[in-house]
Amino acid sequence: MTNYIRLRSLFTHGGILFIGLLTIIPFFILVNLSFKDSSQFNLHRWAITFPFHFANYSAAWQVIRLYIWNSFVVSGVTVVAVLAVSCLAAYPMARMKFFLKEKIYYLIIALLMIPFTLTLVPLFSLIIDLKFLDSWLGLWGPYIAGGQVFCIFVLRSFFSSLPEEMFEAARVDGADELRILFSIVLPLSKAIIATLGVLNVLNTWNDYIWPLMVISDESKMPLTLGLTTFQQMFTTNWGPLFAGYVIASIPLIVLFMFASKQFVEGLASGSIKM
Amino acid sequence: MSYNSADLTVKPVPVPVKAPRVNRKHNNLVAYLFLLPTVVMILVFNYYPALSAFVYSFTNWNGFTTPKFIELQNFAEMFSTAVFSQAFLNLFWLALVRVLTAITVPLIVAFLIYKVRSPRLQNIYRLLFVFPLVIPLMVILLLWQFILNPDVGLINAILSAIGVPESSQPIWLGSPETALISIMLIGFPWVDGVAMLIYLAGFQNIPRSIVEAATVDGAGGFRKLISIEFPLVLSQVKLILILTIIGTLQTFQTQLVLTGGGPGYSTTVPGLVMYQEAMSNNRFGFACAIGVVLFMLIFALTLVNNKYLRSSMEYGSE
Repeated sequence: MTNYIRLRSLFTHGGILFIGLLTIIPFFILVNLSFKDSSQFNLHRWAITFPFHFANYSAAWQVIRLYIWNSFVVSGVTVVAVLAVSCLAAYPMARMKFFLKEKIYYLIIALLMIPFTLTLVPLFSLIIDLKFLDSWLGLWGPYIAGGQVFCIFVLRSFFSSLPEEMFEAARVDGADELRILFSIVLPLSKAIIATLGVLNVLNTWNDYIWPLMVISDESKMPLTLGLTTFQQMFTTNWGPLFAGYVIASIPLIVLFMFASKQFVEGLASGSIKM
Repeated sequence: MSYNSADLTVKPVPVPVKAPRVNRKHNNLVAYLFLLPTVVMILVFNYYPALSAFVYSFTNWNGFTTPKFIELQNFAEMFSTAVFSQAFLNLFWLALVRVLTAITVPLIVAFLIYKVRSPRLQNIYRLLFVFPLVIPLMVILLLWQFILNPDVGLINAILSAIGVPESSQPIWLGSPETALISIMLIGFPWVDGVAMLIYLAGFQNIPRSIVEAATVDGAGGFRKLISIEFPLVLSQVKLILILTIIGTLQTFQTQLVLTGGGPGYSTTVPGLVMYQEAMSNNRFGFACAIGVVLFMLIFALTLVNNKYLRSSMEYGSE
């Protein structure tokens, strides 16, 4: 019996580690290659070689830091604005009574059914008309407008689940709605807001197609676009090229380290449905 | 697999609100002020483009001059050109492979992790498979471009190591015969972190009492898997199935970055054709027509999705 259990647990752990290894291997190769000079790359491509060439990283950093900064600004402004606008909109949806409330809610939520493939081309022409081409406004506008929909949906149901007594007490004490939102609702919703923020950053940080259409000025390119330019610059200069890929991954890894519990629990528990 | 707002289909549930009726008019005004930024933005950046897509889809329009109404010509052209049958065929194969991998590999991984006894190890394993989610998609694509590189890449190095002569090694993305297969290979072994988490939550939601009752009745591990555990995560499987199809229908980033749809039209998909018609050929009206067709496909699938999403949510809430 114990033998059977041991065999089964060997199978379980062995299976997980095997698939896990296959999943992770490309990233090991990425990091390994990022430390090689060209002779190490040509002669011992798959082995770990010494010395490590940290110079690859400084070479890559010179070029890529601009794109990382651009992505920081693009995603940072987006996420702050999305969360602000979403909280403002979700609060009356959850906690106030007003004329046309359900209609407005459906107007917002119906957008979850509209894929970006439908709006892509007309939105591009709108951006041209608004003279937002080659400006971050052309990214921020659609990002904020699109990102808020899902956040409002989640926040509204979260705000609705807060106990009504608190709101009554606050209103009796004479607090206005803005005050209630800031001193009661938001402090209680920190965790969910953080999760939504991480999801939003992941989306905008990874977006490629929209910036490719809107931004052509190299000094304004976010990281996804910058990486293709970067790749054309270094083509077969593999060491710095891979160092650049590693650097490009670091900001999200750092974000993930701070928010991984939030992120995984949020997705796993089903409080956020994807 | 990438999920986009269209996948997050929901059935809005009206929430009863008991706000004291102090000053109705004032309350209305405050609520509208709170909602103003949201409503203005969605009207400008979502509804206006979405509605104009339908209008432009019936026109010949280059994005700058006045659109010219041409009835259904765009749609007729779509359904009569060879590029489109090729694009839809590619899309079909891609979606088939994506679906098969998304409902098997993450499910197996989730099942194995579910069977791990120690919560600490379970947590570590879970993180191991969630981690790739935070590597930028662009980095993953460029990394696979290298792995598939016929001269210096990993796959042909492995083929060399097991004795395949260089002359008979495939050139992967470079040849019309293997390009689509190469696109499918990207992400091997295809453990999608989000799908894995959804499956895992499904397994962990199975009431312990059912599994224990089966054990008491003498059911072995395999029997429990077939009769209890697998049927009870079936709703999650359906959910992933639909989400994967919808996701595959929309995305064309991989092709845009790696192949541009080529060589020839061997890797092109309808979304990519739409992009190229608009951006390279200035055929905005035609591109809108492609967008409308894709929207209708996705919309139909979303309705199906809604049904299954609801059933899986109902299960999750017990």
